[in-house]
Amino acid sequence: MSESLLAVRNVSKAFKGVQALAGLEIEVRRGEILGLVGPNGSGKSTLINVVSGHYPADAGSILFEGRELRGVAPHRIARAGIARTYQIPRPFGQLTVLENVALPPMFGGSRSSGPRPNTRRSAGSNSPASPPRRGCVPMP
Amino acid sequence: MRGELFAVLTLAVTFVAATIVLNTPIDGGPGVYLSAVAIPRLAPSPSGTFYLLSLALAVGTVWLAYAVHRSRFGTGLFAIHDDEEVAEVMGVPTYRFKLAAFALSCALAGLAGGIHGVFVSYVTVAETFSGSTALYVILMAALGGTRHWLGPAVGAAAVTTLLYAFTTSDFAVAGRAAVGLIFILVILFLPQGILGGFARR
Repeated sequence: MSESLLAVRNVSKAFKGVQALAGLEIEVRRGEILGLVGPNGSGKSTLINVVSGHYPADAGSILFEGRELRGVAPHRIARAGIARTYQIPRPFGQLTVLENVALPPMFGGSRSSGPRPNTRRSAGSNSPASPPRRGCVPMP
Repeated sequence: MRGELFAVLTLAVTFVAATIVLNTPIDGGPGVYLSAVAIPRLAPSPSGTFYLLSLALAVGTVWLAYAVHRSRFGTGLFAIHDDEEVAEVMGVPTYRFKLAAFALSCALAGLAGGIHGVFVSYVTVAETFSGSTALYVILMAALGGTRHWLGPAVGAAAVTTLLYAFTTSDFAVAGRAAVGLIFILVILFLPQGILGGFARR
């Protein structure tokens, strides 16, 4: 149906002796809303951190729009179009609210996807015409 | 390398550089006379020339601080200060920005040092690499406020006025002690600096 946007192939990540991700395979298609479900310590956050480049993956491949993200600096991954938030919010404490909101599109806004969105505009106008497929992926 | 470790290391580099200069022909032992360096005639007197040069550099530096503060580069730097990890993940090229900030700071310090060196006309290792020089600069920024573009300038004016007020009297040592005391008080009670209360922008 819709094309693959993000493909995580055989990704592994270990912290010293703890294997957080072992041969993980996930595919996210364009327009899809996908949830990760799993108990504490099953590697949900680790996956987010690996895809956003905060942690380097030990093995495997992460393809976003056909481009390899593994080994790419986190700020370049953000610029490619991967945005993330934090479970416990980590705002920039000394920046204003507007600056906090404006900063990600200012730096992470993908250059290839046309004009940058006006950060003062309310959200919602960019939603796709057809309702996206929604799903859940259980973590092992 | 980040935070306190980086700060301590940059201070330590001063002493490494001092040792190298002291033990190589760069210094030659007692110090270097710069009186042979020609002073451009911008004003009728040499001191007037130095004043104009310093004034131009000061105005240029404040303008640069303002420009950086208002720019995308400045926003990125403030974000790095708040949370470097998040800034990187949000798309701020942290390494490049830090390198650029470091280079910019070094360039300004180098320009100021060039004018100062010719002004005092005789440079020694002990004077040039003294720890208090670095300390005064940090105090100026901390006192004025590091998150306002005018902060370091306000701090510099205050610290310099204070130091000269004591130097001209018989209490030069008391002046240094006062500066140390102010440094401690500022860190404890005024961590945002004098201009810290003024909202950014």
